[in-house]
Amino acid sequence: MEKSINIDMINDCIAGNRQAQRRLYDMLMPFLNMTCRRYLNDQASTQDVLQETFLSIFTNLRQFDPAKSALKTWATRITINFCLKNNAKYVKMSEIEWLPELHDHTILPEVLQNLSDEALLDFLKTMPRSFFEVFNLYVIDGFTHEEIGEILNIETALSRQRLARGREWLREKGMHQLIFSVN
Amino acid sequence: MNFIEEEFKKRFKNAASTKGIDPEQLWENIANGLPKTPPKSGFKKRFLLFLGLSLLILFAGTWLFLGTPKSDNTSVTSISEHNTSNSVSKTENSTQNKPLLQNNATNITPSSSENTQSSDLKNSSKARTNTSVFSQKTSFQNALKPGATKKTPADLGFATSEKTNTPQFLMPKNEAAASPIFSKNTPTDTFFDNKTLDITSVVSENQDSKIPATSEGERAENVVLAGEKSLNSIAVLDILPVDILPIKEPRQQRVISEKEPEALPLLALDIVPKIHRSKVWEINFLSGANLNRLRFQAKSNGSGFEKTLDKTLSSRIGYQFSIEIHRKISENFQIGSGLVFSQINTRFDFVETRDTMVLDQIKMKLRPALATRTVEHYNKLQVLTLPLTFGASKHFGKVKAGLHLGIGLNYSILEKGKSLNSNGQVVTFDSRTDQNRPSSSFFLSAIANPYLDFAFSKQNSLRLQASIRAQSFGTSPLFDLKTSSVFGGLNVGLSHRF
Repeated sequence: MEKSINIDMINDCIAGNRQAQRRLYDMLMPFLNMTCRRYLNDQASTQDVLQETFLSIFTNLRQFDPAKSALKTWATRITINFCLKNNAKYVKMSEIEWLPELHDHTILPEVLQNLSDEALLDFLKTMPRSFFEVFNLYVIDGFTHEEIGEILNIETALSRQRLARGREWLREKGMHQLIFSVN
Repeated sequence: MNFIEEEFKKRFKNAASTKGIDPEQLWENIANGLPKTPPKSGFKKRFLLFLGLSLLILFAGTWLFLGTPKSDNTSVTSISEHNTSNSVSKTENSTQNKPLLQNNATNITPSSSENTQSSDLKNSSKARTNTSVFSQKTSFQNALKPGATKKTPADLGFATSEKTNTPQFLMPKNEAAASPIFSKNTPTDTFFDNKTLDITSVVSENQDSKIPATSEGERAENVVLAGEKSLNSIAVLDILPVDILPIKEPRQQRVISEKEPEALPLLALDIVPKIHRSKVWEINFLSGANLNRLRFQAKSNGSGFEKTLDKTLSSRIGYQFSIEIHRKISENFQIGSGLVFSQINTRFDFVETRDTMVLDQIKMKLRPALATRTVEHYNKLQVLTLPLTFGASKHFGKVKAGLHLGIGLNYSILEKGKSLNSNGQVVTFDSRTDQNRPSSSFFLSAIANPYLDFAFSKQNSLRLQASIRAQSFGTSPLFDLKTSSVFGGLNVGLSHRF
């Protein structure tokens, strides 16, 4: 996909060429949709967030610097920001964070491989929100703890702590649930 | 990273799906929301707009301050008026001792068919200036009293046309019409002995005594100044119509000096506008520290959010640099402008409390607890201000005290930091990327700058200046509250007059 997004196309989009903008939309939308699905707590907001994201992308495309990152990375970052912003609207202050109990469960790789993407994503989203945000950013999207700290407006140490807790959750409670759900 | 995370990454890193989305509907919404014209760089556009506006105001202000051509013209006009009056007054002085006109000089016939002004003179004793009266240089020179130094037309308040060498009054027509010295009701009997006078015919007579002064062929006799034998001049009459009324004003009589006519004492008259050639410009280079206290006001009944913001945002010391230019418009008053750069610092302190669960290590049970999150951040706001001020000052020996009052046009160059949004959540804002921020790009402020100048040389002084501004940011999109601030600063710098 990235190969077909060239500078000329970006320039056309900046110039307001609707056809170029549509082509870029077609290329980015499925990927950004999946990103939204990963990050959004409220799946019903996906289309709204995607709309805001694309408007922001097209409006601020002039600020995109190809020397710093790929367009997809830049667009992903914008999408994540919008998702997190949207999540913040529905934050529940009384949400109870889960702290894992120290039990050991072993998960077989075959169990995971037999799960569909949707099922696996649904399973991941049962993780406490704050853990899942960091887990998503660190494990799947490859951000560093410093970057996660900036994105989530938290301390780097807290990001590390949340990742550790997320991993604990997966190892303990999560996989336990997964095994039950598969069985 | 274990195999679980690897599996997650493999599946979701580049996953793509349109599930749950109507791509066409979504694109339609996006296309409708996009501007039809390509977006321009907002920052550059706003900055250029501000710069252009600032320069325009500065140039307009400078042009108004200087106003040199207009001022000079006014001065010359004034001098012309009084020069003319001087001549008339001088004539009046002469009349006190001697008859102005010889008896036979009063037999002047009006030339109504050639010059309507002549008829005016006849009918209503109107004295009016007609530049054609001075069509000959000789006539003009004859206006001088014999024995006095000859003056150029400019000395006497006339401008000489380069082409025709014709002296003309510099007073504009409308001013001439309105001026009391051209009053229609000015009596002429003081000079004309109840006789009417046709100036045009008199001039014609002076130029060539054989040319009939009137259409009927009547000749106007020469008018000779009393006491003058050889000078067959009507030049006094040339000037007489210029002004009659001012001769009754004693202040003009006192100014005239027959001994030193060339001294043009009219310039010393009180009514001649003073042209200030002293140092009227003042430039100040100042720098200092500031504090800025933000104020928040709810649109309707407050939800208490404004009080929360008041607690979380506190002012910290910032700094500013300024270049100010002031022009003296009178001894104690000035108008001024300039450019001020300010960095305003604010500290954001917020402790977020939330419910959580903790693990009781002894009982190995989860227990409810309160989690706190502390956010501390220094916010900054950089502002460029174009002040337009009016000031007054007073000297106390070597110390000058003054006050400048005015308005400031402000442009927010950069604003970044952390704060609460209207939902009470901690957010990070940066004016370069976010529209949601505490202040707006442009805002107005009321300015009061009291100062003290300590002169250490003729042109230079040390300035100690306080800077007080009331700034209104309008409704903040971030807070959804009306936001304003009171800015206080203390500056030290150099003031130079030139």
